[in-house]
Amino acid sequence: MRKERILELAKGFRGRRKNCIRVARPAVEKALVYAFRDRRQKKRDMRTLWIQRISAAAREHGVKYSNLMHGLQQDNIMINRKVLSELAMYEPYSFQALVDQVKFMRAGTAALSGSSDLGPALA
Amino acid sequence: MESRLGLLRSDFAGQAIQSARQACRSIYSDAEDDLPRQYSKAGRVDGPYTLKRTPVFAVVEIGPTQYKVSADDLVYAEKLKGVTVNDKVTLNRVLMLGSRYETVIGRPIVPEAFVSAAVEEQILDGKVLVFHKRRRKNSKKMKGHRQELTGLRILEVHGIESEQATPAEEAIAA
Repeated sequence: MRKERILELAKGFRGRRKNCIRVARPAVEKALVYAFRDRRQKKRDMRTLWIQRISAAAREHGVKYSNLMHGLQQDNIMINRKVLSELAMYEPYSFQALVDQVKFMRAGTAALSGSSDLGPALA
Repeated sequence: MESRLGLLRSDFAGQAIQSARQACRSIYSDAEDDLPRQYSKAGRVDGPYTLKRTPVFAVVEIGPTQYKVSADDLVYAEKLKGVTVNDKVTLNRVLMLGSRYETVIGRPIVPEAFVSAAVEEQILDGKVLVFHKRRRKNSKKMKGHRQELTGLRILEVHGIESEQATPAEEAIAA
């Protein structure tokens, strides 16, 4: 029955929204619309989270996120941000290997410009 | 009966799209054909097996996603075509290998490295409800969707050694 299904979907709602069909129906519809929208937003949010994690881990090694990603792209290393964040969390030495590789390749070009990555403020 | 005009238009559109794709092809994918096929069948599982967890991982590309895998991992990937349950599969696109002693970084993939996996199940994901409502217009649409997935049990990571041979062992082997 349609009503039973709606009340089933309304479990956990507050007050009459979970028990009374006339209040639950629009609440469930709104919830389903939000679910559709947020399935797309989840992908964006996860990527933001990965980038934050990669940035934090890279700065621990003295490299900025932007420079790290640029270096990886130039080296044709196609590991994506999701896995990079997992490496930063669970395989710190492998992540450091990637950072060192990027630093090594940038050392060649940085010798021309003579600037350090994070600047004098951060050590 | 298709109209000639329709065919010509679609031809032209194909070429336009192709040339645009060529123009914006980044250095990420020099050529999709250079990379090996993502997976290939490699026999079947004979009987029950137990897997040892080794401190080795690989970053492997299946479908559009990448996974960091070790032995005895269960990975749910997009449905793989042409495989059935209890097939063994080799995953050829390995982007990175790591062990306790070394890390191998592929550019973009590590040659001669692969991951062997067994197809554990071909299932449908849980149902998501796709609901659209246009407010004040008396219009709503409800659809259910179940994505098809393949459950892969990772058997072994090939291309890296889990234990570093000590110089004494190397001398004995030589």
